[in-house]
Amino acid sequence: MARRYDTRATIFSPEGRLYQVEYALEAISHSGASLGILAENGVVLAGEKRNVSPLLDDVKYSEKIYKIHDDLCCSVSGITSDANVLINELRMIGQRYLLTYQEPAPIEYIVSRLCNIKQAYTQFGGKRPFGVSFLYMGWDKHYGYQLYQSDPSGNFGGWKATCVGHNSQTAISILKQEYKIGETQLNDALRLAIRVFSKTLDTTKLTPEKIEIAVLQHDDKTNHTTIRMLKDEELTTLIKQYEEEQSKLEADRQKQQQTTEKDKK
Amino acid sequence: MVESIIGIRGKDFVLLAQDANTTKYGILNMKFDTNRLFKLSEHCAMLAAGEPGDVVQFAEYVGKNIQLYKMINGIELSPYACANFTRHEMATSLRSRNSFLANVIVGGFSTNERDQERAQLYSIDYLGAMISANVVAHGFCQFFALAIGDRLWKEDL
Repeated sequence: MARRYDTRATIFSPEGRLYQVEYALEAISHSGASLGILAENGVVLAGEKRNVSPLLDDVKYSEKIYKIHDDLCCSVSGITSDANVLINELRMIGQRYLLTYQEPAPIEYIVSRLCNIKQAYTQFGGKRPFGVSFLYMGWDKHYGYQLYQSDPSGNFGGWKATCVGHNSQTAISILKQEYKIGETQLNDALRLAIRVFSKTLDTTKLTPEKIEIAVLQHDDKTNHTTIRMLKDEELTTLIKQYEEEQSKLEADRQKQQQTTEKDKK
Repeated sequence: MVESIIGIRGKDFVLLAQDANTTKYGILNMKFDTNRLFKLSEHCAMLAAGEPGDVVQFAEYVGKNIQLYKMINGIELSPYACANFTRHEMATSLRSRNSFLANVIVGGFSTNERDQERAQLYSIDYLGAMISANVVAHGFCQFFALAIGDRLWKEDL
């Protein structure tokens, strides 16, 4: 039934759906996850890497996280080649604004402009939509730290914490329970990111090769934003902290069980 | 050239002043209540002088585009951004079919607390050159206003 309405992206189905957009979202749900968490003093973006072959030439190559301009960084989930085109466009949008207004573009402006382009591919032209969802983290002087998500339909929204890609629903339900609005500092956000990833990644053990984490912070005094990729040592430390917490919880739980069994006897 | 527009910047204000005469053929005064002030946004305005048609055309074009920005993006442009946008438009139109013979002064007070200098004043001439200063002026009054400003302007006006 749906088959007759698939071939061109730019038409509605009888039920009022845009199948190509939905199929794009489906493609993204199979790709590596991207996770974003807003903190009081910064923003965290984390990505699940899929290309972990030891044969890969790894200079300073980032698979998931890209810098758009000095105050904006994004994480990619979906078809990498589609993402590259859109990242190029994001960078140009940022620079065109800078050329005209001589000050950095507001984050929402850049996201909104890109989403208008993405929307065009769902309405006319006969080309398929881009199979990418982005998570954007940035700082601007209007609204401070911000986290946005955009998808192939051209929709975007601002978030306190969110996830796209593989197992994103699980991740979002964990975030809903554990994210504390108004009380999350950057190190809380980092710990939360590791916790979520250890539950949603397919592997039994989390290692630094499988994830990428970037942190954005703005210094009000110097009016300078730093975007920093966490080094392998820092990731190892975070993962070890998480594992120690987990084993401590497990030990406490076992002790509890033993005492209740003793009480029963 | 006989139209006077002056801008003065203080610590927490910007003052924009203009004369109100429209003269023709060097001797005829047609109007005593000319308006040269164009509102760009709630906290920013522009004085424009020069070729009468160009003045209104350019000023209204810039003003409406700045209003459009506010409608689309929900935030107000700082006077610094307004001035740079104005300069950009002036400079691009200069080397095209339609250039504007208008000298403008853009001044305002930024609503964003993060801006270092909140009172902002810029002068842009018809060739697209922009400067920021404490006292700016266009027209013959320049010779007087800038000299007086050099002598008498002080930080805590």
